[in-house]
Amino acid sequence: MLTVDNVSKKLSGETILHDINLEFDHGVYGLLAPNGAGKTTLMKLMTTLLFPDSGAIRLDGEDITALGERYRGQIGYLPQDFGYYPNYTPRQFLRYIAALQGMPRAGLDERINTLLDMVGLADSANKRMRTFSGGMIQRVGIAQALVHDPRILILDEPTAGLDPKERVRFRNIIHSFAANRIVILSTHIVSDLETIAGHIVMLRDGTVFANAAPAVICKSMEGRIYEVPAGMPLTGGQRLLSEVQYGGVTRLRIYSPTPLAEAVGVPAPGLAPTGPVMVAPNLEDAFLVIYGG
Amino acid sequence: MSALPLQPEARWARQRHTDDPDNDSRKSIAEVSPRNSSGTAHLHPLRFTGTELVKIARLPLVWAFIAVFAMVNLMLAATVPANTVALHNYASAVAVTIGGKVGPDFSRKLARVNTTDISKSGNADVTGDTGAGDGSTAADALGTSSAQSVVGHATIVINAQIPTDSTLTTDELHRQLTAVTKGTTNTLASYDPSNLREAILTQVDGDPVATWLMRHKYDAYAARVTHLAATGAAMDLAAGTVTDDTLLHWFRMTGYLFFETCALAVLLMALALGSERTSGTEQLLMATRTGRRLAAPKIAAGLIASAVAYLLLVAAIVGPYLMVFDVRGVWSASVSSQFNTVFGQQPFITWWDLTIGQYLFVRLALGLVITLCFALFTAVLGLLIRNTFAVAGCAGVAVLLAIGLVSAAHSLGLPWLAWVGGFNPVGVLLLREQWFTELGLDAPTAFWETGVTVCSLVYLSAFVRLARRSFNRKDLK
Repeated sequence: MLTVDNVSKKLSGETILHDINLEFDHGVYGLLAPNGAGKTTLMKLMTTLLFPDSGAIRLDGEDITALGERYRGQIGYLPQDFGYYPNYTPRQFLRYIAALQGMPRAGLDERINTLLDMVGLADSANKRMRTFSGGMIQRVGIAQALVHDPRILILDEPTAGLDPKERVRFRNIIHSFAANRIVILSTHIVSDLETIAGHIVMLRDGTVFANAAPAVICKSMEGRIYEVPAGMPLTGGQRLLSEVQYGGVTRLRIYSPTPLAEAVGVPAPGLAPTGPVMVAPNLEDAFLVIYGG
Repeated sequence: MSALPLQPEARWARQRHTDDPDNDSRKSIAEVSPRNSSGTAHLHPLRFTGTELVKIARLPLVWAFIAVFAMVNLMLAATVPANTVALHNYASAVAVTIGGKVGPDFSRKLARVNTTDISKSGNADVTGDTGAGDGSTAADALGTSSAQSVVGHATIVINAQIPTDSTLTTDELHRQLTAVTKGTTNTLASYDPSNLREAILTQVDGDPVATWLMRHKYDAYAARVTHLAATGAAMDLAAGTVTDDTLLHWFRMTGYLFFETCALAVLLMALALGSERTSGTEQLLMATRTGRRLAAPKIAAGLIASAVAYLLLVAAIVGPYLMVFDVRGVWSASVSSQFNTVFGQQPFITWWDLTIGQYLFVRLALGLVITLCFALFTAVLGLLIRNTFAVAGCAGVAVLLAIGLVSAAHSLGLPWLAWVGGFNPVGVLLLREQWFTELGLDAPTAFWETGVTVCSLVYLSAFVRLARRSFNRKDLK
């Protein structure tokens, strides 16, 4: 188990994280927060790139700073700004990372082949990465995080630059990987978290605002999310979350702290309702409500 | 009840796991190899030194600098006035043929060399005996003159590598050499080192420690003068004005060389330590099992690259120089020969017996160590600053500050400030024209340049160690 115990961190004099307490056991954990909330800082603390000002991060009870290479050998990390060597091919790059992870050479090539095939780069294994698109580079990044079969996977914005098909491929990889491992990933694509994360951690103002399953977070919004006609004025704490198109008709998806009178009667086929309709909340609704739409 | 079509999110939710048609054909990650989680074997980071060297070698900027410096060195070494080469090579050939110790015997043999003006043409290299007394001369090789003389009943042939574009005749070459070597005496036997000693002691008068140090130094200096006078070192043919230009040329070239290689060492080490940040791979690499211990092979690679660059640039000097100059007769002479002086004013007395060739070799060896010191200094900056250009800039500023401090100390007549401020590779480089000699007021002890360089190596290595500890606890933002 990976635990974050009372961790605080300041950067450039500003408090980024304050008294964070978290526990990560097997499964997929999603870090959800807007830019600048501290997701990347937390991930860097968990990868020993940063050191806590107070508190500690422990793996099975031992401080990860003290564990040193014994801890780092168990983590796979994909940074938000993934850099690479343009003159390297994916195969060379993965071999290099594998060497840095202390992997034996026996069986390494087979593993690299499998990983490259898994991320859809088998045909580009021996091409220099300077010719790659952003999405291809990102896939190399995912592969390198998995090359040594780590116990803990820490992925910062892993689906950035991936097209929908690759995002599905990525989600499948994570699902197969996370059975008896810890996966911590952050993303702005809320829908990615909704389908693969068994647990969502939401940060706000440097602290943990929510730490629960997606269904639990969504349930807290139940009865407060409505779709209303486009022209309806918002009052009394109501907030616009998004717009929804039904054919040529636009309706507003809003948050209302108080119940609204729902439309009565069944509209004619092909016609949208004329009044407010309560809808099931999703994670995006929760994100927009908590952090401001 | 709402008759809305199924909400997008619910529809999409049913689509999970079904969009990837290739899913069934893939092996799972776990099937391929066992997990290498914590690893029980210790991972020695220096095994990555080769990889780090390759990273440096792949940078075009590195080769651009080496190429420019090598071209400059080649041009410096190869573009020497033909007459300078002619004078040097003739003196060298004479020394090889009739001996390198000047004196009455040398002058007698030299006087018996008859020369005629030889046309510098033809492609045949003619050497060897031509018979007694015929006074004939050999035809030229391409750039080769030869002169024959009769000494007693034996024929002496002097083969000198003379450039074809030299305007000096063999007669002129011979005349100049004769003028320089005529009437020479063992100047070291008559040299009084006490004048120099007293001049220096006057400058440190009132400072008991400095006075004590200088007394010891000049006592050792006097002992060296006595020794060299006994060995007749002053009588070695280094050929004075005939060969001065070439030795100055060598000193000038190696001065440029040291500037080039120290600048390269700064660049190479800055690149070695800063390249990951530049390429955006720092976060990734530092989070691996090897992690921050990657600094060790990077520093090793920077040092090796600096040494290799040094040797390449030395080769760009030494190679062409040896192709142009015949050094056999000159470089075997004592560096303390009367023909080699400190700015023409005093004998060039080194702390141990060296020939000119040996002196030039140890000069290059010290230059290599100084270059490595610059690399170590840059390693300290690189671990603390982690930005290639900022590191190079800071190194440049530090060099200028050191030069300024030493210069100001001399101007103000503050020898201790000069010694402390010059207790670094920059201070040693400022004394490069007189390495391994007494160095006047610039050095409180014998072997000052050597001692300072070795100490610099030690304390810079210690600073690197401290900087690594700081780096290991540094936030990598």
